[in-house]
Amino acid sequence: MLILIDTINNTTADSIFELISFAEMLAGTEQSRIRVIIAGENVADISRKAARFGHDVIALEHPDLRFPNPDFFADEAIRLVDEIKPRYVIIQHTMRGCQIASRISAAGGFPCITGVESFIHDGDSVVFCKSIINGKITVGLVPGGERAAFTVLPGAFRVPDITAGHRVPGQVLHRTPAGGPSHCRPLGIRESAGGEVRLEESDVIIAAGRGIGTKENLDLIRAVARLFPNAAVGASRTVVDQKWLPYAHQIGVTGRTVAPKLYMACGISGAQQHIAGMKGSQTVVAVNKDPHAAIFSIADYIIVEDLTVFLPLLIEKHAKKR
Amino acid sequence: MKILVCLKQVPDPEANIEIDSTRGWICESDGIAYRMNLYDEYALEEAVLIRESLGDASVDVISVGSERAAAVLKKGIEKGATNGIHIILDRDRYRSPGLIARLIADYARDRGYDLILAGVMAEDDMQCQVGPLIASYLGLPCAVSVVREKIGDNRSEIDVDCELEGGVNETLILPLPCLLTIQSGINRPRYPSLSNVLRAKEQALTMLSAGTVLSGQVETVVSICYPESAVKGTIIKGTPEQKAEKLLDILHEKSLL
Repeated sequence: MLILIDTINNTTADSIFELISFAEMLAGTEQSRIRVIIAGENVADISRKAARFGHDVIALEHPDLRFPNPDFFADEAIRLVDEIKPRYVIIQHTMRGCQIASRISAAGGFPCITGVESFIHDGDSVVFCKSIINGKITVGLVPGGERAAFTVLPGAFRVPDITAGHRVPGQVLHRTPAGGPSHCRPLGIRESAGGEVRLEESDVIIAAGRGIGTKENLDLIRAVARLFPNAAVGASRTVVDQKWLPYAHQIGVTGRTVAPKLYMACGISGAQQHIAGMKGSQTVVAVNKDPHAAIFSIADYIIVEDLTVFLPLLIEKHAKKR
Repeated sequence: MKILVCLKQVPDPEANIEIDSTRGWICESDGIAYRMNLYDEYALEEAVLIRESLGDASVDVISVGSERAAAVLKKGIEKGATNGIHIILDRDRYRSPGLIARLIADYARDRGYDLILAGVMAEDDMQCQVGPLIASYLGLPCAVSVVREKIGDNRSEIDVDCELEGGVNETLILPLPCLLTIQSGINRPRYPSLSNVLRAKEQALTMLSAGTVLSGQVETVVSICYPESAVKGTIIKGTPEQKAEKLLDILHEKSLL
């Protein structure tokens, strides 16, 4: 198996090593060699870190890989697939992860499944499960043929615990992409506007979803946040797309990943993309008028109520108690 | 400049969607509203904005789907597209993104498109693959999750911002022709104008049969179900007032308030 990891400025979050658990569990008892490919400009440090998990690492280094360059990375990965002939190619589920996985699968003529959350062995085949239709439905897919590429949803697996059991560190090999110059020129990265919001440092996050209905109802969310000593306002994709809040407030696969003491989801339906960004929260309270909202499946406390009715009552009752 | 925008018809995710386990997909019923994939709406609007700024561009919209999918192409023309191309398939079921991408790539090849746009993902299968696959089949450079684009003055390259994670964007320059997948929020999709609504009524779509496509090995749906709805949490019951009081009590007990 091949695990592909890209970096930004030669670093990546440690949660990327969840992919190693996925690969090890997929291998099961079968003897299967796992190799980790890390792309960047100079990725010696992160490669050594990755090797501690006990698998060999190929540090793929080129100046054009300092910032994500999915086509360029994929083209070298295609050469690696040809050389190593892996059964599976595993990538983290991000939009560029899907781009890399698609490009490799197109070149090799094998299937690609994105946003994988779990898998089950079913006789000789493995069924890969993913959400469709905003998390309302789960499908099991079996890839045909000898090879397949996946993107794995962040948070679906845990980083292996290297303190448990003996892992002999793998070797780190350095490699330079063989291809010509990159077609795309990555110029750099920057924080999107509103980057001053410190969601990660807040004990409490009050998050607003599509169910808030109007921008004005954000005042209710803010008022609830003010009840707590260290609270911030979060949002689902829909809310930031409406420009009701800056993108820095967004929680989910394409936004922030948070793990506060309390996460209160108000009018959030609970698409997997959102849940992946907040499932580590200690206590989750969900308020939604739809009794079938997917968010309820991960909530500790469930309130089926219209938030425009419920939140004002919550604020009022709190004022009386003080 | 010739622009092609890929549109997909999807069931409204908010609708009451039921499973058809024998076909491994969702039931087609009158109760479901079908509409244009949200992300494709942003892709189409971006194409129309480019045409308005350049003055001399055409915007074709293409969709692969059952006969019902013609509605999104008509909607595309209502929102400003020049022409609609419909590659017709039989009834909806799970289709491998590889198959859809190959059909679109085969159509687009040799037609001289300078820019191909697609939504960053489809709301139904959430695969995020068709755009990059089309680019691969056509040998075009690709950038995904684009939240800003600007075509260079000499029209030989395009400058884009792609959304990464954690509120970070990356700036890239790609040569034209290329393919971009568009993220939601890049613009504000317009409502159809009356003149375009009238034009869409009159104007015929180009209809093509999908024929047989060799798409290599694909993935197949072997199970379809509702996610574990086993609610593990506590449902707070009572009148809205009682629910508010109970929640405050819980938050106090947990020292969160």
